[in-house]
Amino acid sequence: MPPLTAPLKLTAMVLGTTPLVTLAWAWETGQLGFMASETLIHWLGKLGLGALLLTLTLSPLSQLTGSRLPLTLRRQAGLWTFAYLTLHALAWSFLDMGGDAALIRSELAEQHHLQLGLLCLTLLVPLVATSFRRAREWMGLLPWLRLHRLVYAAAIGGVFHQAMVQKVIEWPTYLSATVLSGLLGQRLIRALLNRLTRES
Amino acid sequence: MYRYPRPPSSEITPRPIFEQRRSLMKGLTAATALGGLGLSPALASREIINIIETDYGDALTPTPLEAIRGYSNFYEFGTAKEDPRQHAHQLQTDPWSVSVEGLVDTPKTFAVEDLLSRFQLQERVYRLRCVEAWSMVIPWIGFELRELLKAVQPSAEARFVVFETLHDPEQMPGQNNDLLDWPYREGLRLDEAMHPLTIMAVGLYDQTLPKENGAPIRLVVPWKYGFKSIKSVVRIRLQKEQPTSSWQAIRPEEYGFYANVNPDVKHPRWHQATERRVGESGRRKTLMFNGYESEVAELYKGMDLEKHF
Repeated sequence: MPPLTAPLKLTAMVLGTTPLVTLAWAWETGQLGFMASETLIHWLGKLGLGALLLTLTLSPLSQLTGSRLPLTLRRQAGLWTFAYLTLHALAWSFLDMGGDAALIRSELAEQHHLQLGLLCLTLLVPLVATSFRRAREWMGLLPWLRLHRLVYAAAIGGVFHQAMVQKVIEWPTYLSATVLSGLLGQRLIRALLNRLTRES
Repeated sequence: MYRYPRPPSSEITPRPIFEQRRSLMKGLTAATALGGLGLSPALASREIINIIETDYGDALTPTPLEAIRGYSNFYEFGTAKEDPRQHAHQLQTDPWSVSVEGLVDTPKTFAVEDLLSRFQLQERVYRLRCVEAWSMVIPWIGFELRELLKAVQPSAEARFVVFETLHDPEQMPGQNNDLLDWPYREGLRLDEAMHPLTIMAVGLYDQTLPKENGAPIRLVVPWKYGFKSIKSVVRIRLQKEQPTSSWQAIRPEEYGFYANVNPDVKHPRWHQATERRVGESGRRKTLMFNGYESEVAELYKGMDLEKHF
């Protein structure tokens, strides 16, 4: 393990907690506007999607810098993603829908952006469940890596979900769509280059 | 029995002149008061007097003024709910005039202050239901649109009324962003426009309209989704053809021409059967025609409201 791993992980822990504490504070002190629950739900969603895209940035960052350090943060970033998106879904269920199971069911039956959002969150569940080292060893590296490709589906779905929620598409969606395209493009080019070098 | 002598008609001050004097005096008083406080009249909401109380919305609890001002959709000033509050000060509402034109016998441009003195102002406490599934209760001050339309005499072939917001990106920076095809446009069928519930609002909570809520004059149609109630109106045109409103133009599958509040007609993004009242927790059931069914259902008799949403 590189020597910087422990302090880096601790820093990431603090960075992951900060928005959550800030939101809780803003909620308590009435800083979230006249429809505080709506603001909270949107922030949790944006932060969750942001964390997801950040998770996907770590491996290209490692390739770029030649350091393994970013990779040591991947698991934590992935878990933060799941934490924020789960809170996003819970906040929607209880604050917006008022915890009314019948209403939640009828909404999920009709609204495509909700179906997509729930699907993406569900895709993350097996990834969280197999995120520790023992699970990877038990599964074998290759099947584990294949399973964890689900994260791309979740990210693509997440960006579409963000776009569908809005009345008009605005910069946060353009930003996440651009970042995601860049990350996917980089992986595609890398995979093509790998294939070419293997063939030659 | 002593009878008060009736003055000859030559001695009676004509109403418009009488009112001009009143508004002049009011203006002077207000200017002096504000001058003393070092405030510019353009910045402050002024109190409106001579308002008739009505029993519309007697049973409703009005949403606090701060929430009405701080939570609004007015994309001319940005798309976030707090944007209008922050940016609407750039709007110059004085002087302001409204041109009423098209298929009318006497087209005319009215200065806002003339509209205020010419038509009887009333308080109307109305529900406001946004298509985004939130709602408020607003104590509007305004006059019936039909009074204004009668004043210009719609011609026989007029069927629809089109409204336009000011188009000036200098004052309305949101218009630099082509989210919508500016200026914002809305339309009503003539019979909807002539309905007694339809008002032109010039104030709320007994004060002139805050800029973020569509000063100095806006439409309020309480049985339709909020986006129909166009803000900061400069033009009203009567025409034969059904117009296309701004939201309808960019997303015809989501926003119809009628946009009547209807809990049974679904929207792809927002649940329309219930709503969240700003300032309340939990949800309320959305009422047919926003609770004005007994007054307006007649207008849509025999129409398929699923189709004409």
